[in-house]
Amino acid sequence: MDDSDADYEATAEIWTANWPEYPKTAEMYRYSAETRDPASVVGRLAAEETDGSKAGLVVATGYYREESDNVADGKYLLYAQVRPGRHGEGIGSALFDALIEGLDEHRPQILSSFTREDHDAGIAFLESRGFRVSMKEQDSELDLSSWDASAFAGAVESVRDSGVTIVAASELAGRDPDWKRRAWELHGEIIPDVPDDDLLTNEPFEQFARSFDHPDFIPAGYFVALDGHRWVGMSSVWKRRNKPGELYTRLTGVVRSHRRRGIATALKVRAHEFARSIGAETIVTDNEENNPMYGLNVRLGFKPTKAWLQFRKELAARPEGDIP
Amino acid sequence: MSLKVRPFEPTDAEYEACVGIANANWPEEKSAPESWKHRDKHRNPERLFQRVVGEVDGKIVAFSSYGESDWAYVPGKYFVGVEVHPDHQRKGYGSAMYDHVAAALAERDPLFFTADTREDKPDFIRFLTKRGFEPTMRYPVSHLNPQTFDFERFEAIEKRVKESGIEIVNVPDLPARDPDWKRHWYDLECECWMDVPLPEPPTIGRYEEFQSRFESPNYDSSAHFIAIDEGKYVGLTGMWISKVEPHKLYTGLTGVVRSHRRRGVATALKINGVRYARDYGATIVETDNEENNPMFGLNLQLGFVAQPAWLDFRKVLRDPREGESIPEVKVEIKL
Repeated sequence: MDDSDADYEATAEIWTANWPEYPKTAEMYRYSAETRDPASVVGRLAAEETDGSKAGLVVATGYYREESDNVADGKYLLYAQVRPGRHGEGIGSALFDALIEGLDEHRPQILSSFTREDHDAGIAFLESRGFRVSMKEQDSELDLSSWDASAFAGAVESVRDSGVTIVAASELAGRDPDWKRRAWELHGEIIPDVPDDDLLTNEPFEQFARSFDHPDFIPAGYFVALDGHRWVGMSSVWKRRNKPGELYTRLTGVVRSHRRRGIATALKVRAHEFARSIGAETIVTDNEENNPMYGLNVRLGFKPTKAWLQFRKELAARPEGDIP
Repeated sequence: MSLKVRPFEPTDAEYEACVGIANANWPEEKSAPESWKHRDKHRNPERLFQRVVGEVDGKIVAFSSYGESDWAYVPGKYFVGVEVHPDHQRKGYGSAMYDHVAAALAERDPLFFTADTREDKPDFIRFLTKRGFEPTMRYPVSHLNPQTFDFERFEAIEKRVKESGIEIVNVPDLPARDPDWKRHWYDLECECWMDVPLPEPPTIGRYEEFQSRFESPNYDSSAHFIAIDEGKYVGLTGMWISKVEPHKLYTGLTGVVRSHRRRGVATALKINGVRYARDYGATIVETDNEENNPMFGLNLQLGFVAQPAWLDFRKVLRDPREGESIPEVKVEIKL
């Protein structure tokens, strides 16, 4: 597979055909490929029809890659997808095996993959290859048309009364030329507490700062909570370019010293009000199922939709035995 | 007959009584009083450790050890172990011991308790599940007979590891090569320990505790091997001898640092261990592995045969508060 438009088109087309609720475009794939940390390992493969009138048609695509925010050495994400109508022919298996073979020179220790909880064939595919579920992430959706901000006025007010202010990135940029770095530092303080199979770490600053150039980024939709000069929380909404009216969230979190004071609620209420002001209809988010943040979202009016399952397979022998 | 619970007195007689109870419950893994004394002597003074005994008519019929784990320390976590002599089980003594310990720990505002037992002991499992304990991890025990081990089968792996420049060095040969061998061994052990699958994240051990092995009655330096790559310590294995069962060896910490995994180093280390075990005259090398750890598969390939598994349990007592957390359990265990 190369960086041709045709390959990105095929990847996006197969993805969107399999997961129509989460449409992706070739441009999105190209953007993430071009903004990846160039030092990180990535491999992409495609399976093409070789005979007949459809010769050259891409019937499946797949990739393996290192994640930039994960410290687990030798951990790679693998994903293979097959065009609907061509499932059950062994194409996915062949592609998956080829990905694993391609990855071998990098000495992988942990493989991860994912599918959705209602996708029985995908679950069976991964389980038969020795993967097991490591985490469940619940998607949820907020319908802004019926959302009532007044129910949370008290929380917002008490946060304000405690001296914590909420400021959008569009204002921060004028106040503090170093705001991206401070956002990165705050991100780094919050991210180890994000539930994941492995400890998450802050990505390099250059990589993080690139997210502010992302076409989905909305400066006025990126909020931080400030306690005096200290940055204590963040929450943001991003636009779904190919799904007008829908916004999605990325990391929301509050530093440990400031938790359980309503700051996350106040940040989210502010983000929702902003979303409504620009005419958005829905906000979608996902949370690890046991994370209290999910409970907070439910209280804010989010309704669960589908859940994704993270899978994991350990390849390398981890140590055994006791210390006497 | 009523049970009197009182603190353990570290006398020879009480060590013998408690070790006797443990050995009666776990005859496959007998221990010796001197091993217990050694362990008690070198416990981390910063971590709570208590042992109480239960007496009936002046005779010790049960004991309980409880406290904070030094190898996977979590604030608010306390392990609870209760052992009743088989002749005195089903009389309510276990419950009385547990209640005593739970009451003693209640003052410390515990977040969760841990306990363990083996899957072939339905009564012990019921004892825990009835009290709200839930399984968190499963570790199948496995056994290998080094006397019938086919070393030839693994010659190619040993050769490949050697040709890649990695040496397997027996611990008695270390001091001549490296004056700082103890420190390097300790550092390697810490690195590997942090990657052992456990229900709660492992804690780095103290150097004093590491050093205490040199006085341990279960230590034989020849039973320990280090993999060295251009001077860097990259893997280790070791076995602990039994003072009660001369035919048996217990596998100690065995592992390879992440950068050197999947090259056959663990296999090469283990084969050296099996060679030691054969010469020692053992007929059983025992180990246990978290069931999803590929190390378990590696052991099965070497010829280890699975036995009943140990099970770790946990009972959550309250919600965590600010700054506290209960490590998540990732695997579902069906009892």
